[in-house]
Amino acid sequence: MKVIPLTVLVYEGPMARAYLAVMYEAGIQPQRIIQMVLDHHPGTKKPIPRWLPKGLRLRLAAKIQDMSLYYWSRSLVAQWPDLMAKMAESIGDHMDVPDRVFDAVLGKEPLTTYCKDVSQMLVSGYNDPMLKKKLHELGSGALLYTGGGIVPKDLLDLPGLKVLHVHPGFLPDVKGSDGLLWSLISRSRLAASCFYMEPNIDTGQIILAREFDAVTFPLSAVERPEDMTLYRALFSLYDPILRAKVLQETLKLVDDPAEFEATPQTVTEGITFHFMHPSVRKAALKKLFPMSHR
Amino acid sequence: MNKLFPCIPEILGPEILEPLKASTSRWPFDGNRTMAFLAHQLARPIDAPPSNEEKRALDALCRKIDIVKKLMKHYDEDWKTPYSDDLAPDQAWALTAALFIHVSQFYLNDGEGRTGQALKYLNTAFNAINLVDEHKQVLGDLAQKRLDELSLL
Repeated sequence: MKVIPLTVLVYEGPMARAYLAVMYEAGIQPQRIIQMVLDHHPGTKKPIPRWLPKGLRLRLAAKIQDMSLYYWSRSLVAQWPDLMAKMAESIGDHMDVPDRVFDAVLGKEPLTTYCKDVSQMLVSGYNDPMLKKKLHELGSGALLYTGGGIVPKDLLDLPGLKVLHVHPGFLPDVKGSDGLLWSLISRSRLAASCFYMEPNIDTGQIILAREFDAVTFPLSAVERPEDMTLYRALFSLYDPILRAKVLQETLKLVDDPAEFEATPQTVTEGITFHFMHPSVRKAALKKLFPMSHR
Repeated sequence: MNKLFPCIPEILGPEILEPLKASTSRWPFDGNRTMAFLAHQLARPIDAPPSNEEKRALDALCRKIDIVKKLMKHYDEDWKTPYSDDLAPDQAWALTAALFIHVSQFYLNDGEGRTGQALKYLNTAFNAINLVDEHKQVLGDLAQKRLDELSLL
């Protein structure tokens, strides 16, 4: 394993796990992992009781977060096993991803599988002063963002810190939410782009942007779940793998991820998309999940 | 087709035009007043490309509809901060829906292949239709027809 000077700030979920598993398959290990554990329920925002002993509170918070953030991906595997297996097989064949990566995105492996230096932090979110202090103490270097909300400017401005993010769209052209589906419907291809984060959405310096032919998953009327299920399946499997593959390709470019050659974007370039309305989403999903007549 | 506001389908009926006709200010000379901007946009020739300033305003309105889900009466020069707590009249949702359905057609036919821009505006039209009280069906059918054209490209 080659250890690279990269800190992965893990916000549990399929995306963080896809990054770690694909790096692992490529023989790459990050220098350290910091797992952000929220001091409240990620969905309901209900706080984890403060009266609990510190260690127990952290373990409970991590468990709640695990159950919440993997809820959809694990439920889909349990309730739609054929659909998920079919998607994993097609994506795996097309993108050269082994089966164990698809198992790994369900978050069952301990994080120590991917790195020896793993620590947990109980925080309120990216605005938590303890997180800022911790990242400040790390000094200069690259940090991989894996989700969990908006990163505040003062964190991005920490001296020497370069925050890497992989956006599921072709930058600078496709910015914003639902990048995978907007790329598909507006450019007829899927894409992901690795860049250094800046305060505005998807506007940082671009390191690598890649487009891919879309894998399609034909479904008969009997096999086809409702659109929301298909949408969740995409964001549990296809989206994280697509991003992870671009991250893997990016990390091959130089030894230090804080030292990539990157191209600035101009503010007016591209389109910033918002979440897709269900009617538009239906049209996009029809392209990825066409009707099979068998 | 309505002669004064060619982007508004006649089927929506005259009552939808009343707040536009009542809008005495002219965009952009009296600032970013939502109804004045809508009147300006809906009255301009169907095949005219939006200027950069108009495009900025359209994108700002997209954000108000898609994310904020609130249209105020009067905004600052960047369309970011409202000048007061006054909401735009209810008809503004139907008018913005009609406008974005129309503008999406322009980008579809602009010869530059900007399908993404057309789809973004159409997406906003659908979101505006969700917030419309009347004419939901008519506007929804128009938007769906345009989407069918776009997604076949």
